[in-house]
Amino acid sequence: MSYLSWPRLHFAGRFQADTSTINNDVRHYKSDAFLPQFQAPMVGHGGGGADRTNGYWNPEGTGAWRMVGCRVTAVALPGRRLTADTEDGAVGLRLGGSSDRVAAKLVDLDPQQQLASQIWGLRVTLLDARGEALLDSRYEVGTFTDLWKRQQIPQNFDQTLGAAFQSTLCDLTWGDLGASPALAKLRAASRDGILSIRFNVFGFDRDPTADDYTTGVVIGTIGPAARREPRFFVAGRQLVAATPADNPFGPLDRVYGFQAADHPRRRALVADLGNALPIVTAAGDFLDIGALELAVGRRDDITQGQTVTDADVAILGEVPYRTPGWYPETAGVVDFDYGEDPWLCEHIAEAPLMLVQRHSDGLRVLVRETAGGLYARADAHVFRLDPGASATVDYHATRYGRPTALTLALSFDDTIIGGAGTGATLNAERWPVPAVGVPTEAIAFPATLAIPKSGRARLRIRAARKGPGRPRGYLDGQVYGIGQTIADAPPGYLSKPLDFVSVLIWDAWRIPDKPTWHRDIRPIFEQYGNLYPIMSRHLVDLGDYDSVVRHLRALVHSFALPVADPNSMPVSRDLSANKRAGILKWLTTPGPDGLPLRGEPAAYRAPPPPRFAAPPPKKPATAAPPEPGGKLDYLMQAIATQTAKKA
Amino acid sequence: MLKIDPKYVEAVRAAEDKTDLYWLLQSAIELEHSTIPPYLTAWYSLKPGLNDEIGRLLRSVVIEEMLHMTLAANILVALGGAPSIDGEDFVPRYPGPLPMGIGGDGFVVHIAPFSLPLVRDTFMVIEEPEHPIEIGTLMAAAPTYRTIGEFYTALKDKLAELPDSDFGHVDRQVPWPMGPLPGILPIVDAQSAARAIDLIIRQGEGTSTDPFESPGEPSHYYRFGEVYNGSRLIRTKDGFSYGGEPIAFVSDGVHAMKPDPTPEQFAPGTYGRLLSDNFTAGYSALLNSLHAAFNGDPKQIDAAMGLMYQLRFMAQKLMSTPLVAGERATGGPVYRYTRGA
Repeated sequence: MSYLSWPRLHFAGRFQADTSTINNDVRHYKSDAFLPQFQAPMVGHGGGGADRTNGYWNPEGTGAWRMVGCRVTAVALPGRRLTADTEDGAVGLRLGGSSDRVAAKLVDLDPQQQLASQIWGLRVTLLDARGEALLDSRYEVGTFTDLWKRQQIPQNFDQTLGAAFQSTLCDLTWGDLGASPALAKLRAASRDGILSIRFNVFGFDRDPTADDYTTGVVIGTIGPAARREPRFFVAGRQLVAATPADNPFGPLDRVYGFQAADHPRRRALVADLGNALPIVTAAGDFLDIGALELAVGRRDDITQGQTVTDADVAILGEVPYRTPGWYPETAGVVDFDYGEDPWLCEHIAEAPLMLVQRHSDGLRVLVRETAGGLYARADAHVFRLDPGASATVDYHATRYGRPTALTLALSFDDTIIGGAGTGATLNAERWPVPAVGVPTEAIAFPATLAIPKSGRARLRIRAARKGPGRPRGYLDGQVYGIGQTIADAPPGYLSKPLDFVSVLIWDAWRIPDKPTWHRDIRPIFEQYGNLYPIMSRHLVDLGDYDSVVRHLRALVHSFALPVADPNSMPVSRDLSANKRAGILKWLTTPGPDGLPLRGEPAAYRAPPPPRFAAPPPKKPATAAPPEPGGKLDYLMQAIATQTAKKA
Repeated sequence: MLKIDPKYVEAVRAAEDKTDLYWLLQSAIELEHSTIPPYLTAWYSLKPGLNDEIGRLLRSVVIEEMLHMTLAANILVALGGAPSIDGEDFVPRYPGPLPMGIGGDGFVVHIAPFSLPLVRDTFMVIEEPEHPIEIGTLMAAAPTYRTIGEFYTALKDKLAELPDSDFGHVDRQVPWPMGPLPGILPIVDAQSAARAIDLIIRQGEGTSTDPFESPGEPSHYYRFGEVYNGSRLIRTKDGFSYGGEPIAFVSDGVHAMKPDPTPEQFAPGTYGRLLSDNFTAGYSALLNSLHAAFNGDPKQIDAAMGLMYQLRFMAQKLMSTPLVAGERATGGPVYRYTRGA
């Protein structure tokens, strides 16, 4: 059970992501090489026109994430969609965040893994016209996925990538649901006390002169959830698009993959095309790619790009994406009833779904279900580990959406991690970019995972007790990617490029008996001070002892908060347990003058260079203009670095 | 401190039991809060790295006003009352008068960027004591008025008449996040309430003989006097003078914020409007968290502290954003309470 079910609410509006961008380039982490210009905004225009990248497009970003002006647009029930508040009081409710807490924060795992952004400390509330909460909930930290180059025409300095966040809502508190039978039904359906939520984001504007600066469009769905189901994707039908090796964000046939859930008892299939169809501009107007239909192949050997006839497939129905208002009202989620079709009733559970484009001479297959209907994924797939710690990874395996047994081969996979981050193609920085994924001895995981017919298995990742040994030199720890392949997968099996586990393992750091500013704290704090001038200019200059001790109480408070609190420092959540403990120990242990110990200036040590440097990236084959400070540029960097490594 | 509508002092004196004091304490909470947006805005309007000393002085006053608000609210809680903070009525309209008829007709407080006239004509008028001490030659001795100090003194006297059993609810009182206040918080009896009120009076207006409320620390009126006069207050052999360390003021170091901002300062759908609405939502969230803290969930004061820091970033971003592209005047913080932020 997930949001691909009933009842569900759809919502639409905008989001703000006040992303902090100096940390987009890993080389800015080198404190002794940091230049004031890195805190200045980019000179010139993004999207290929930047003269000096500096701190990119938002150096004073706070990292805040907010939903802005979002409202429930519709309630979907079996066979019906309600779009007026007279039909159900849920329609028109405002979807907001917390009303008594600071904003949530959008956080990347690491400058060398920027494709795993997470929202921390988000509350999702549904509010009526008086501001009363009909629902208050905690959004469980989840990572965005399904990034792809969705927007055809960039304007200003739009982020042309789209993405989706899927997670669960927990700690539900319901208000007076008298005006909304749908919410009452949803409450009754949420027997495990959680709801499922997925929202698509696109059209994000990075131009400081634009009205929409730091904002984009969000369209999503909230539905029921069950504890036994994965939280961050649907264990259902998975359609995966073929993409070129050097551009995993660019599907070959213009549409991206998506997921669907079959409801055999109702003889209905619910498919989520909310992040699958290309849009023209940041407004989310769909590119007209003709009549699109969801179908089931009568054979499994039909491939993406092929043109077939109506005899080769059974049509589930049309995707009415060209109907005005369809997208905000449905979030791209379509119900297909197949009860009238005996072939579908008998075969849908064992035959591949495909999205087809109707032409005069046939049906072109734009994207199809994975070969053999097989799919496997780790539910939570981003981990931060202290040395000696371990994490449990929950894998789910399905075949045409039902639990299945299969074996995964697991191995190190740096394909889309690493590199300089962004701007390496334009920046003047010349010092080494660290290599990622090494040393491999720092992390242990089994080479295979046999998933039984329950479709679930757990795997343990262990971080070595002595940590990775400061391989990156001027920034803490190391990032690793753990990729997977399905053993005995059918030929031509396509997997999703972001379906891999990302792990940040922190360096071992001994908590000193008597921490001092110069030796122990300054090397940590000055890096934060450089990267986040919103703090150092407007609150506390983390590079300055006097400023730090003036704000002692606030720092003790923020560093001691649980990391899930939206006020937790550091916002970047990249601080190891020992360093955090050491900082708190220093802040709370006064010396003879009543202030934390300064120690000797000579004890300060500049950061060492990386032990393993990445090779300079090869120019990517695809001639996309560099987008400094953007995820597309990050990806191109990472791939180019990986390509150079292999050469 | 200013003229106060006499009905408040009379109502305190006429109170027969603790419940009669509830609305009066609520008024005190609202008054203490009402000075915060103007002082805060002046502080926020100082560009980072410039006018740091003035900034420190303003900040210290703001923090003490928050303390006064906390003390008044805790007295109300101790007596079994419930502070009401999360509502439109809690926030005065700016520009406009302060609560409790302070200053009588005609005294209007604005939300404005820092300037020396602002300090002289607004801040020092708000904080003016019953008997201002003559300092050097720059300030003429002012005539005396009935002041908020008289209100608080009457309150202290009335509280002394209440039995100790009237004071309690320690678990519902909110600790002061900047550090313990032994003997004052929590409010457990008339003596601790009296000490709390003494602190409010002393920090605000000082005493009739000493402008320093504690060594090296003038009360608010004289702290503003230091800023206005551009030098620290010191003791001389005959009394006091603003003859100490200079306090620099760089007039370029103030954001060109247009006074008395409203939500319409930026058109809907613009980045400036987003910044403005975010500030108002953050300020509303602050009031919500304070309300929750003083109504049974004291730990919420931590969320409130976090919101204070966030507000500072947001205000300074607003003050760096021109109202019209290419022009000098910038936006500013709108202090209103909205629900469903």
